[in-house]
Amino acid sequence: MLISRIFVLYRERSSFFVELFIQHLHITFLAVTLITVIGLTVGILMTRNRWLAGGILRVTSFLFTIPSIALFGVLVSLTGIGLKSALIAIVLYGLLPMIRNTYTGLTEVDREIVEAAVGMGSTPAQLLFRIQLPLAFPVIFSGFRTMVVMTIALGGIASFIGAGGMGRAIWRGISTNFPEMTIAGSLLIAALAIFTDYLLGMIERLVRYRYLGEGGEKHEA
Amino acid sequence: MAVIEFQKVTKAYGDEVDVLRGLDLKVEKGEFLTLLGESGCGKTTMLKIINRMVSFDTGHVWIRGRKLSEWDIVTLRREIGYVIQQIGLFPHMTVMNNVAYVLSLQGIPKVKQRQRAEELMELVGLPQEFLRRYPRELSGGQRQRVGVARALAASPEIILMDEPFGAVDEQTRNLLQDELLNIHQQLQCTIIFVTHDIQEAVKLGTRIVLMNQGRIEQAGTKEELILRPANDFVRRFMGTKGFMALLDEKKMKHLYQQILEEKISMEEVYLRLK
Repeated sequence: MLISRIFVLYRERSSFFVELFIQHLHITFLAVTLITVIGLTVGILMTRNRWLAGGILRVTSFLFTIPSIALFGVLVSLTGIGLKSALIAIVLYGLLPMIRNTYTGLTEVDREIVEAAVGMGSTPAQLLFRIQLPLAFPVIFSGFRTMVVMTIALGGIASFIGAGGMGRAIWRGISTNFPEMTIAGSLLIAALAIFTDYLLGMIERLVRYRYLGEGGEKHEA
Repeated sequence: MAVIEFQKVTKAYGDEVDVLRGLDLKVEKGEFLTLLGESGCGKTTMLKIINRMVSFDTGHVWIRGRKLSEWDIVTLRREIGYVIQQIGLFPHMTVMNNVAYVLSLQGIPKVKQRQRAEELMELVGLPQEFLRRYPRELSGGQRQRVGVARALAASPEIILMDEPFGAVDEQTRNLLQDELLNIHQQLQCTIIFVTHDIQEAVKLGTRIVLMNQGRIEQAGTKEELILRPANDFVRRFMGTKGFMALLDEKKMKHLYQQILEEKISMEEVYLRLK
């Protein structure tokens, strides 16, 4: 039985899998932090300049359409093999949902709410932190959730350019014709992605309830 | 000294549309000024120039003796109450935090904010328990009251209101108008109130400014505008509606006084009106 063989594998090679899992978490954590900081900053700056916004949205959408393997290939020739290249690629992909949702969330805050806040004497920073960001938070958070799950999955490919992580198990399985190893690695990535998505989904519902009232209204991102 | 003074103020959007064509107006302390006119006449633009939500092209504006351009924009706005038609309550904040918003911007301690919010709830006729609620849990009329309370929080000398009662039913509107008149009397503040409703302008304003195509056609008391219109436009605009509004109010006040003094019964009033 394939499944039982996979579980045997997990047991026998547990320290190997634990190490890869921790590496994977590490890459994901680094990437998510970078994407969140860059994405939020760029998204906020975009609302100050509509012209800039159009350009950035086009560039990030374009980056998103490049196949990940191709992007990794290009980066290897530019920044070499290792964690740095992998992080750059993952961050470039993850920026799209983060930037787009930050920008959309902020621009979709009702005009009259912003007008009232400005008219009562909010400084630009007060407007941003007390009104716009809290109100855009549900939309930004759903972008964050998409991005995190995507980053976990992409981390699997990052191992192909020597960044470590669960992808190494997959790669080893493929290169040594050892399907159990490939599936064992994939399953762990999938489990991590599903669990994280579930957890963030619960938080998202709480956030919507808090900001939008019972049930909450759906925002398409 | 006038609280607000406009001198030859013009404003155009783009090259074609002249929104304001040379406005002159002085608003004295304690006035309840209603800006009346059809949509597009420039009344909202004029209102928003006062708290610099809209800029103007030529002319001068003074607020409390200081040129508008010399005011720090944030200070100016915090010292002027502002209520817009859609109210724009903050949905992620409780009524308490909505009402105390300007105070929190100024960094006033929480205890003081709370105290002030409680006073304001009393002033606008809402129960204290509402401070804990969110705007979505209130009716339209209650939201308007919160909007008014929020504008009054920092005890502004000037309050700007842009058709604040446009979206509520007539009965509620009447009630809100009465309460606003009450508040104005109690606080002795200066209110600039934009409306397109003649009845509302007549009922609320100690002075009415009738605007048309970016100009002031006439500024004066309701009696002046209705009984001694400056030109044909004013006569036609105020029309029978203005006359009825004036008549109604005068007559009703007089009769109501007599009822209060028990000189006359309700039934007699009814028969006489018939």
